[in-house]
Amino acid sequence: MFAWPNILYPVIGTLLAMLVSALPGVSGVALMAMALPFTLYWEPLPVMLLFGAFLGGATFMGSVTAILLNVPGRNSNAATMLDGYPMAQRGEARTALGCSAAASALGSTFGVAVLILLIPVLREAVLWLGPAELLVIVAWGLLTIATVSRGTPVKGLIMAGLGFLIAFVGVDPRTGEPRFTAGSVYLLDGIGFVPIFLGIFALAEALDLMASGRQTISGSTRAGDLTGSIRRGIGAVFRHFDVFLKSSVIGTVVGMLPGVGGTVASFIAYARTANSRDGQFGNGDIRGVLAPEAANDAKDGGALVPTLAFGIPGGTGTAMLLVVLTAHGLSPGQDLMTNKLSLVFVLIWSLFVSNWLTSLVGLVAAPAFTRLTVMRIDRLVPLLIVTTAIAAYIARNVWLDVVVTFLFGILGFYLKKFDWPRIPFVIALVLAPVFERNLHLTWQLHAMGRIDFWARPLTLLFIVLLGITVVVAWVRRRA
Amino acid sequence: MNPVVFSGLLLGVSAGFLVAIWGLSPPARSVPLLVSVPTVALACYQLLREAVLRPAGGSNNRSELRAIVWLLALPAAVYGFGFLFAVPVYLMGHARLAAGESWRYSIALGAISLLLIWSLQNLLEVQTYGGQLWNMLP
Repeated sequence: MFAWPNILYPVIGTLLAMLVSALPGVSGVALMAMALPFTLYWEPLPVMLLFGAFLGGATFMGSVTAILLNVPGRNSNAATMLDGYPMAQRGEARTALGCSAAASALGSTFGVAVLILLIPVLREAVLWLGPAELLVIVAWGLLTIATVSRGTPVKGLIMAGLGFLIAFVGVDPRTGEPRFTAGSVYLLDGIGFVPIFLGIFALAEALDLMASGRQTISGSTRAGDLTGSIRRGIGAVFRHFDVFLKSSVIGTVVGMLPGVGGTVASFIAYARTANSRDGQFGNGDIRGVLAPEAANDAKDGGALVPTLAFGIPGGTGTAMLLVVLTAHGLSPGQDLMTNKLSLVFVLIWSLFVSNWLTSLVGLVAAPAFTRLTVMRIDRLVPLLIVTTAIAAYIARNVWLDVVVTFLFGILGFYLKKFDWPRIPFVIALVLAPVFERNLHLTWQLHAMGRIDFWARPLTLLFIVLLGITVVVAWVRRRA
Repeated sequence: MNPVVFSGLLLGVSAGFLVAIWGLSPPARSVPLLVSVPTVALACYQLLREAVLRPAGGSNNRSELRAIVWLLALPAAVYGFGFLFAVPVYLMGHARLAAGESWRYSIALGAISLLLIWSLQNLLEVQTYGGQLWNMLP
């Protein structure tokens, strides 16, 4: 594995993933799809090294644009911008980038370490969480964030409800009948995350900047005036080590759950951290950057467990990895986990190296990135609007996605202006399919007598936690 | 737009979903109904609260309106002319008219963006929207 030219594959893979993920709308998954035909005749070892790096390399760059421009590189980076961008507005972009890079590297190390240590026992652990447990976990996360976000809890709950309703647009998963589509073929696929996220955050921010009359994002016109420091950002990971550990555990565990993915992991980690008593979440709290970044990178290790052990991908990246493995004649499951275990460790190694390499390159380049926050707004905003429009279109090559992006841009602007929280809306949007699927499953299994919802210890535990969360949030509001 | 009108709009959207639910079959209706009834109830409460607590003073902000017009100008131009031509013209127009940049800067910005979009289309083979007006040409 360490022989020439094998040592080069993780480096090339990481740099390519970083480069591609900096382009609007192009993800690491697209890079994997494009690279697959070129590697079909390669030996399995370099394939594992290259694709492991693709998987890990794209994550951090998505955070850079989320922090500096309020444009998430990937859906899973959306939680980072909730506090990262307000930090950039305060001139502390370097601190946020330093924290993001350190949390990414250490979070991925945590995920990989857990993966290596727990491979033999994880199969059983994943099977403990059934639909009833997942349902209550999702409800718990959502209620928490709706009650603690800015504005009043009522506004948070209304926004969560609207997020759910927007997510329901499309086809009913149980009956297959069109739902809220008004006869439109476009709406049959549902409204994509990408246009909504781009609109409600990136365009809303662009509008706000244009209407505000401010000169620059950070309020300063010289890079020398920026107060943040990379060292302080890295230090934040160790100052709030409990947040880091909790978020890494959340990321690793959520990553293991099939079909859930990094977006849910980062938002749940954010929601759990934002439940803190003394936070300024949504206004530039460093823990709001640390938690989603640690979870997002820790989930990569966790997501490999169901992918490699059962052939069930945790998200789009691992789904693409599954395609790559199959194309190279490698079958996930017993064969891969016993006869070809060395290849699994090669993949893990490559993932680990790429996460560290991305963070190191990111740290070195952070001062250059932060110059964007001292660029004149009337020069920056049109570029941001154009980039957003292109990203919205090329994600699916559908013109109506651009229209939806701009509509949500105007909605996001007024939500921000009138102090309606956007966080519960996007979290509900992400969690709604998971909630609905598990609600139906639990309902049916309970009705058929296959499970007793009220006799499952883990379900009851999460219901108690849900109750405690509501009571604590209510008491805090009263106080 | 003032906060009361905005709350009313959000109530209207959630009520619209509630009305649309009755067109669904009973099995498809269950989960959306579970969400929309409390959402509409809370939105009504919030609207009343806004109406009672805040006087309905409008915020007629000209810079806000100007920003929205500039924002919507881009999709309108792209719909007609496609990304390749609309983006350079939009950037050039914004630089010259809204930001007060020099002609030299505005033209350079337009030219660079034209080159970048062309590269995106032709070198990276990324499909970008071509616009409707070109389809009307014979």
